[in-house]
Amino acid sequence: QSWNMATPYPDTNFHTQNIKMFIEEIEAATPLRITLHTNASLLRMPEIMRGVQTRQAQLGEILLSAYGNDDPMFRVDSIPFLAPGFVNGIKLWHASREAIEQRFEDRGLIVLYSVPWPGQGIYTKEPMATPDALNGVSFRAYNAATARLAELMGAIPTTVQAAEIPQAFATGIVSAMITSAATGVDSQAWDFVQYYYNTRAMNTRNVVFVNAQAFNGLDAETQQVIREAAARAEIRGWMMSAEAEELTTSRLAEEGMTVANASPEVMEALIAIGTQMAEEWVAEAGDEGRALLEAIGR
Amino acid sequence: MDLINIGLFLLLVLAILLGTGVWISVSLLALGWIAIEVFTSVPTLKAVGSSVWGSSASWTLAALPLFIWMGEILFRTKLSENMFRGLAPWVGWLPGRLLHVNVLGCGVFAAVSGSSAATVATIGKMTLPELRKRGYDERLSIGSLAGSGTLGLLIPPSIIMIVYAVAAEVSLIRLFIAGVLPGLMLIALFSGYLLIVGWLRPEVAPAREAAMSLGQKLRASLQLFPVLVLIAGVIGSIYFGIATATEAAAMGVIGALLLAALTGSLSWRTFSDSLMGATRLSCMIAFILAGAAFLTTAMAYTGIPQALAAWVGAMDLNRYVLIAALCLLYIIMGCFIDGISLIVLTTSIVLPLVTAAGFDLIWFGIFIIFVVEMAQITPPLGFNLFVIQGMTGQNIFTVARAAIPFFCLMVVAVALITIFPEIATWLPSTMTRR
Amino acid sequence: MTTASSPRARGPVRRVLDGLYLASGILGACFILGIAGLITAKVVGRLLGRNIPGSDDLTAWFVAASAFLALAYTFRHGSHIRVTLLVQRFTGRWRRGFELASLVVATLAVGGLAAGLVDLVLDSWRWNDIAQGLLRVPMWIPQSATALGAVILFIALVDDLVTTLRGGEASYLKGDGAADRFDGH
Ligand code: NA
Ligand code: NA
Repeated sequence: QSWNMATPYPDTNFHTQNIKMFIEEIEAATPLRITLHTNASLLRMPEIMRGVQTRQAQLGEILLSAYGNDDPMFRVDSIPFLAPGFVNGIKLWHASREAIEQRFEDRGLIVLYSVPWPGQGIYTKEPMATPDALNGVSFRAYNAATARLAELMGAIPTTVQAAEIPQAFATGIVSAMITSAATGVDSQAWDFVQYYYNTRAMNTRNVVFVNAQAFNGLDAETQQVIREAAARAEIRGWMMSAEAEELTTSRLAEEGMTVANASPEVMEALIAIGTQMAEEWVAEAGDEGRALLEAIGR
Repeated sequence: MDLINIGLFLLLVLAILLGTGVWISVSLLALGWIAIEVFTSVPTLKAVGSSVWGSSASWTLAALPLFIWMGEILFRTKLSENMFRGLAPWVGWLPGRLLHVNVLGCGVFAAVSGSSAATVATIGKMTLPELRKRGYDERLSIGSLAGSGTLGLLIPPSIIMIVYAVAAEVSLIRLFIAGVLPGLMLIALFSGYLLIVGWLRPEVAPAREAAMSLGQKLRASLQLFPVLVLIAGVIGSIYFGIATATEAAAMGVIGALLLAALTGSLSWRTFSDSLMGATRLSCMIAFILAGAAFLTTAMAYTGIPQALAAWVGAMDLNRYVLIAALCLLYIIMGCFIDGISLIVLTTSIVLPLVTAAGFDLIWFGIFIIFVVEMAQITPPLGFNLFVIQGMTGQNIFTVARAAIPFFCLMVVAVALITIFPEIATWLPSTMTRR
Repeated sequence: MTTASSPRARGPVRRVLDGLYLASGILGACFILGIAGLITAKVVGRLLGRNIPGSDDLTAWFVAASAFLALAYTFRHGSHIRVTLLVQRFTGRWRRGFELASLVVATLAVGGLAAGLVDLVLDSWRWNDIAQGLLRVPMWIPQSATALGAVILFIALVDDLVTTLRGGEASYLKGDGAADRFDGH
């Protein structure tokens, strides 16, 4: 039997490397053959969930918060400073996992595992010494949450396509952004920006999932192999992500950027913004959302 | 059936579809449909919906209708006359004399037009009658025009580059900028050739006309000023990052409308004609791209491109051998297929190959632009030949013969960028390092 | 503008169909104007220190709408390119045979495309898919433009198929699309 798997990320990404190991383990133990289509070559990010639902591919990987407009539960991981750092991130995932799995199930999908991206920090051209440092600065936004974050910091949210980040910085279209150190290394941030503040604002997550009908059509033994490989991939992925965070953050410093932790006042202001955004999120997510935040002690 | 046989079968079906006159976009769509329906268990209906929608709703593609519209507006202005009067006074002293206007005029117009046939038509409309009147060598006039017109594709903006950037998913801005130096190199090669011929065989050009004073020359060139501003605006704003390629295109449209208004050629009629013309043309191209995207998805499901890439990878070909083989293949295909189809038909198969061989996709984009340029002047299907045929009444094989030296110079240019890839890759690499 | 088919068919149906093709073409052109307007607004907004949220998404949808809504108009103009080197050599019954074969293939393929795009719209509507960017728009809205354009092209193909079967000349053969082609390449 042969399956297709769609991911929007390139071959070199650690998520993709992890998926490849996941597939190898399955193929070694079962007759199932899985072709991985990387780099959105089969389906683009917005089409992947539907694509797996309709069996254009049996397996898929998405950035969960990309689907945040569909359901507030999908973007709980992108509320900045709600669960900063990996440890809080794990807590948040375990608290929200059941609700998220239920939503996938409603769409005929089964969640196999989830791996976070490294924590996100703030890149600026000018030093960010005080909380009002970003006042009036144009700030790159890539979704509703980052646009709102920029607004609350007093910055002007500006949408810039990922491929145009260097151009946008070089010419002052934007002067600040929030993203992980890994993405900063990928886009060679040192060419166009000087400061990186390691705020670990949030760990957005990728989710790997399977079409339920396809999965249930497998024999019990194969299903078991996939489940176990998924459990291993989840743990391995968290470790790869933590490792990537360290390596890429130090790489930014090696390339001559000023890498620092945000000052206590700045951090306090940012966390206040996070609290406000969490409240706004609860207003949309309702009682279920409130219960989730209580479960992680917020 | 193994993958090779499936591939050959699909190739045969494609040849039959194209050969019997089925629209190119429809052929791609139909072939994709057959490939998925017959050789995979994927739900075809779902696949065609998500792949066609996903590829068509593309932000990068916004530059396409805008640059086309800009060209359509300029095409309807008096630009071509100004071009001749503005450039002619400066080249009279060179061996080859006014023949250089063909090369330079095309080079300048290429910087505002995204199309090679429009470049040939605009410049040729003015230069060919003037050159004939003055007794220049017909063959050299026609050949240099046919060759130089292809600059429209290489010097940004370029419709073909947008098509490639979308198909190969590379940065359009970088691709545009990568075309600048190879374009200037090609201008130098063409002009150099005209210099040598003009020097060895002075009879190709008549005696020098009475020289103008510097003031007269400058006055004659003043008419070119608005175009130069437009060029500086479009290319400059892309290179210096003031605007994205799409934004430069929108500004180009506004600039072209202003230019048309300034020269008195803007009317409701030119406005609506240019807009509807741009609508048809960009619709045609976008539909081909949609068909190609679906075929690419279908190919990914069959596994043919991956298998082929693995096969060629295992042969461990020398890079130069691979490029020479591809060049030959494209030149042969380019005799029968137009440039846009040439790119979209082959990207799903060829790009995995060149990536596996370690080529930079921006560099390969410039390479493929060169081979598409050659395809413009090879019979029986060559759009520059058609345009010149329409203007001179010469049959296309006569025109093609006149273009042979310029075709050879393009082969030289391809060899040069293969040996010195920096010609294409250096300028874009400086963009972020400022 | 190209009007089509044999004089005896020029009834109310003919007029409605021709009106449909032209109107959708003009609508496609309006979306190109819209793209130019959106991008200009974005540039001006940036100079004034304002951001227009979601303009990128809107631009992408306009691109799809402009291309698909103009499909039928472009088709009847003869502007969709084809390789006619071989077909041109034939005349009379053979030539008509090639045209019929091309039209049948195109009708089937575009019929499939239209069905796929309509199915996509229905899926998006049924699952209440929301766009992933800054604009929280139900996906079926922008997707409808592409589905509608494909359906109109399908109608235009059936139209020409019927015309050719009745012995008339297909609309795209009378269009002046050849002039267009020169500008594109
Ligand atoms: Na050009
Ligand atoms: Na050719």
